[in-house]
Parts: sequence; C-alpha cells; structure tokens
Amino acid sequence: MLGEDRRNKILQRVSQLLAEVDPEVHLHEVVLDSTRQQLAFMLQKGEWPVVIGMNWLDYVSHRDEELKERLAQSLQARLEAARLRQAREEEEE
Amino acid sequence: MLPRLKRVLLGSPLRSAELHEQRLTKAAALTVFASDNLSSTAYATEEILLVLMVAGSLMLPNVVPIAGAITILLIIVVLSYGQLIRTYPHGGGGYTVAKENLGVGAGLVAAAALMLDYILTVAVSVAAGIAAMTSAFPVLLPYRTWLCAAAIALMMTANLRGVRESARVFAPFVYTFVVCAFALIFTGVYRHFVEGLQPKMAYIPPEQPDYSTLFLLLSGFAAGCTALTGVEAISNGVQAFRKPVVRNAQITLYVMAAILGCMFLGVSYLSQLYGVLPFKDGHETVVSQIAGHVFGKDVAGLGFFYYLTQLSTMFILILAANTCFAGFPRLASVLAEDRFAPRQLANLGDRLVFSNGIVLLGGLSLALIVGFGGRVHALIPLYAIGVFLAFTLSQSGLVVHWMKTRERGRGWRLALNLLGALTTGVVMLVIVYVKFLHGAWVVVIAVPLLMYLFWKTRRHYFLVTKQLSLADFDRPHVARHTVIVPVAPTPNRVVLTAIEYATSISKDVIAVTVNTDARSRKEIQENWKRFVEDVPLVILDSPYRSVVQPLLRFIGEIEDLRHDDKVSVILPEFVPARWWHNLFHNQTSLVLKGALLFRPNIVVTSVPHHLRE
Repeated sequence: MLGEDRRNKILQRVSQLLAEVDPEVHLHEVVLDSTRQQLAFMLQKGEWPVVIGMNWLDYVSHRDEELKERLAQSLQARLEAARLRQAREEEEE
Repeated sequence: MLPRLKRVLLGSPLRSAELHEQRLTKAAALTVFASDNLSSTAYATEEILLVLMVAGSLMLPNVVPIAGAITILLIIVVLSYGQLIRTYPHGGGGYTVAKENLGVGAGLVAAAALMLDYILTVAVSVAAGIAAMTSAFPVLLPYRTWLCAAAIALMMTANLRGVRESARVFAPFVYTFVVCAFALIFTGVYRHFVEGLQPKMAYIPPEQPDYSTLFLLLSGFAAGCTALTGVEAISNGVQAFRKPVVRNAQITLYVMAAILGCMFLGVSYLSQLYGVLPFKDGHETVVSQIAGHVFGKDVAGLGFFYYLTQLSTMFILILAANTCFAGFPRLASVLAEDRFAPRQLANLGDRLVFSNGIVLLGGLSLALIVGFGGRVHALIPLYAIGVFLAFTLSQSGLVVHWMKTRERGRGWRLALNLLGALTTGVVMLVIVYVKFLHGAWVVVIAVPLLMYLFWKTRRHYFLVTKQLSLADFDRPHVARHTVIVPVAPTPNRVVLTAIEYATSISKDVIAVTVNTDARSRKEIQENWKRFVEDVPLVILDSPYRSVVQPLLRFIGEIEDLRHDDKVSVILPEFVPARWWHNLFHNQTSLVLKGALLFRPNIVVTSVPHHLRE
C-alpha cells in the first residue's frame, strides 16, 4: 500500500493532468498492488467508475506531457468500453 | 417452522435402508396401482351407451357384446403386460421396452404419451369426482376449483408420506367400491331372476336415422376402451412390490384385470337387463340408476347400499388419480436417470418416494384444472389415446425382443405380444379416427412437444458434462488475486470481519463504498483509516442514489484491469436473529450476489455475521 505522502503526491499530480484532459473526470483513489509494480487510478466520470492501470516505472519515468497523453488514451479507451457496456446493459433490460 | 410443518404433514424422514420395508404387499399394491383402472367401471358402460343412443334404444343391447370385446382386449393386454413385467422387472414400462427394442425415439413417444395421460387422468378424475360431490351438494359449486385443489393436495400429501402410507389411507375406499360393485351385480341378477324385478324399459327413437351401424359400434368400442386406462401402471412400478417382485406384480395385475373385467361386464349386463338409458345432461349416472333400481333408495333397507355405492364411486373417481401419483413419478425418475428429464426427478425424498415427481404431477394437473375452471370434460376425448399408443409401442418392443432372444417358450410369447401389439394398434387408430375432431388432435401436438423438451433436456446435460469434462483440460493458473469488498460508508463489525477475511486470502484488497448522501469524502476516508489502515477505500459518488449499479460497474472495471487477475468479491452480510427482521433491512448483498452470479470470471463469497437479538 502507498504511504500517505506518496499517495497524496500522486493524487495531486494525476488530478491536475486529468483536469486538463477532461474536467468532468474525478480521481478518487490510487492503489499500488502487492508486487509494487502496478498502479491503478480509480476515477469517476458522472455515474461511471473508471479504473486505469499503469506500470509504476512508466509513471515515474514519464514526464507530465507524456503521462497526460497516456492518461487521455487510457481514459478514452475505458469510456468507450463503458459506453459499450451501458449499451449492452440497456439492451439486456 | 417450515421443517416442523413438513414433519407434521409428511412424517419423519426414513433411512435408505428402510426402502424394502416401504414396499407393498399385493393387497396394498392393488389400492395404489388399480384405482385408476377399477374406477373406469363407473363410467365406461355409460360412455358406450351414450354413443349407441344415437341410434335409439334398439342399438342399446349391443353394449354387452361391446363390453365383451373390450374384456377380451383387456385379457390380451394384461397377458402381454404380464410378459413385460417378467422381462423388465426393474420397471419403466412402455418407455423402457420401446427404447431398448425399437429405439430411443419410440421410447420417448411412449413416455410422452404416458406422461400426458397421467396428467390428464389426475385432472379429469379429480374434476369428475368433485363434480359428483357438487351434484349432490350444489351449494359447493362455486368452490369447485378449490375443492379440486384440496383433493389434489390431499393425494399429494398422502403420497409424499410414502407409498405404504398412501395405500393405508386409500385402501378402505378402493375395497368399499369393489365390494359395492359386486354387491350391486349379484343383487341385480338375483332380484331379476329370483324376485322378478322388472326393467324400466323405454323406447327411444333414433336421433340420426341415417347412422352407420359399423361406425357406431366402432365409436362405442372406442368410447368403452377408456376402461383399459391404468393397466400399464403396475408395469411402471414393479419395484414397488415386495419380493418376489415379478410374481407379486404379475398376480396383482391379473387380479386387477379379473376384478375390472367382472365389474365392467356385470354393470354392462345390468344396464341391458334393466333397460337403463344414459342421460345426456349427466344429471344421473348409469351406475346410479342401476343401483337406485336394484337397491331402492330407502336408507333403512337395501337403499343404504345405494348411498354407499354412490359415495364409494365418488371416492374411487377421485382416487383414480392416485394411480398416477404412483406411476408418473416412477416413469419420470427413469427418464431422469436417462437424462431426458431434470435429475431432481430421480431423487428419493425423505419418505423414500420420488417427491419431486409427485409435486410436479400435482402442480401440472392443478394448473390444468385451474386453466379449465374445474370443467375438464373437454379433456376426456384425449383419454386413452396416450395409453393405447404406449400399449402398442411396448407390445411391439416385446415382439422385437422375442425375435432377438433364444429363450424357451419365445414362440408363444412372441405370438401373444404380436396379438397385443396388433389389437392395441388397431384400437388406437380407431380411437384417433373416432375422436380426432373431439380433441384427439391435441395429443398429436402435445406428444412431439414433450419429446422436444426431453431432447432439449438431454442435450443440456450432454453440454454440461462436456464442459465439465477433464479431457483436454489445462489447469488454470491464477497469477494474481484481487479482492473487492463492498462496504458501508461507516465501518462496523460486519465490515471489519469481512476485511479481515479478505486480507487473509489476498494481499490485494480494495474496499469500495457508494456515497449516496453526499457526505464529505474526507470525513469518510478519515473514519475508515481509524479502523482499517492497510486496505484502501474507494468512494464512488452516486448522483442518482443507486448503490448496486456503481458497484457492479466498478467491479467490471477491476475485472478488465488485468487479464491474468482473478477477482473475488467478498460480501459482508449480517444475519438477523429472526427471519422477519430481514424486512427491516436493505438486501444490497443479496441483489449484488444475484447480479454477480452471471459474471463468469468473478468469485463471490459471503462473510456472514450472525446477530443474537
């Protein structure tokens, strides 16, 4: 689990970048897995929770611009997946 | 509470070792397996007379020759079934014989026809019995459907208590009916020939002057063949008999046929002797007219037997359904063992009977009665077709069997079964021809439909077996294991118990909560960290106050995060001290559990916390 300071720093950095990508997206939490290699950003846009995974080394090695681009790509992919899932849910209903 | 009620109604569970003790003596088996067959005495003669009436009273004396022909048919069928019992002592009747000798398709036709007939028999006989009651007490007429339901429930309960119990409950009614019927026949003959009791003759002109005599006789014969329904029940339930099962089952079959033959011929003869005419509106049955004429209706004298006959007739008509409660579950269990019916139908219940089959039969026949509002006379034309179809297929199966074997005496056995197959086959065609427009066409639709369901069930089991098979199976490798624990925003004992359990099975645990009332996220996080330091909490916002949907979507996101990850959802649940306390709580865990059941890659575990007060 991330230490409090590191957690807050990550939240602060990623929140700022995400605000530039999509102001409607809120970052709720960041979790580091037990192997200490994978980060997971827990976001939410409207009603939709979105989880974006990222390698820890990528996170620390990327500059802000690169990280923003990476986040934007991942977010778009996840929102597209969410849109498809919603369409499927509505179809099932 | 429910287990106590079940024990009171059905009795204590029986050990599997007691199965043999539950088997029936010949006398008890007669009441279980023969009530359907014997009850036909109450209406078979009347069915023939109603057909012959079209030609007026001049044709009515043909009732005795027709009854004689049906009795000869009965002898042929019973002797053939005696062979069937000897050859197939494990039961299954027409289905097993047809399947093994003519192929699975023929077996399923026989099974479908028999099952249909069992369901119809319960519905029709119960409705007919209750109709007899409502005729005597018209005030009960508005409660007809409820009375039918009560009669079915009574029979279900008696049969669920065990086969011996049902025999014990119903035996007095069956034997009273048999005694009354023979008393009627002997008294009727005695009073006519010794005391000179005269018939109540009346001339009736033909309704249709241009009737065809042959068609009329055939129609009368087809109508009277309802007397043979229920003959096959013993062959389906051979294993319900005490040892030696074959000998006991055969003797019971022959005794049943002898009683039926005598009663049927006797009642038909009396109807001719006393010139009894059937009423088309059915306000008084032929048996009632004969009994009223022979015994009189003075309760102080012989008239007592009139009322006893009527009462026992009413009960035997209802109890005809009891044979089906013995036959249907056994047939269904054989089908289930072959995977053509749900496996539960092959399970022996607490009382060593096929409880699920009994309940299924009760439910289906009740649905039929409710669907027809207790008026099921429209179903009567469907009667007998299924049985004769099964007769024909099983006898044909035995013919093939004897052709394959080299057993001693196979020549005369083959001839007997060939005669049985031919006669029952011809009779079936006659019944279909005569009754087709009166509803027999329904059987033509229902039998293939049931067969389709059998095949679909079999295919389902095949696919399940294939998918669970270890052939070509690579043991799955779980690289990682992420555990999600949906929790309430405020930690409590239930939540902490679940978190403890989750951390014991994985190092990657994520707690998630839904903030429906816009509480401060900071406050929730701080409160969480006071109790749980090592598990992150994700707080999801829910602008529309939905709890389940955001949780399901979050779980889906975690599931998509890594492909080598196994996701478990641990559901903290508290179990109230009283069942009705559940009414005071949201059942979020239950709803989540139900929704996650259909997610193929997610493991769901409940961590219950039992409340004491």
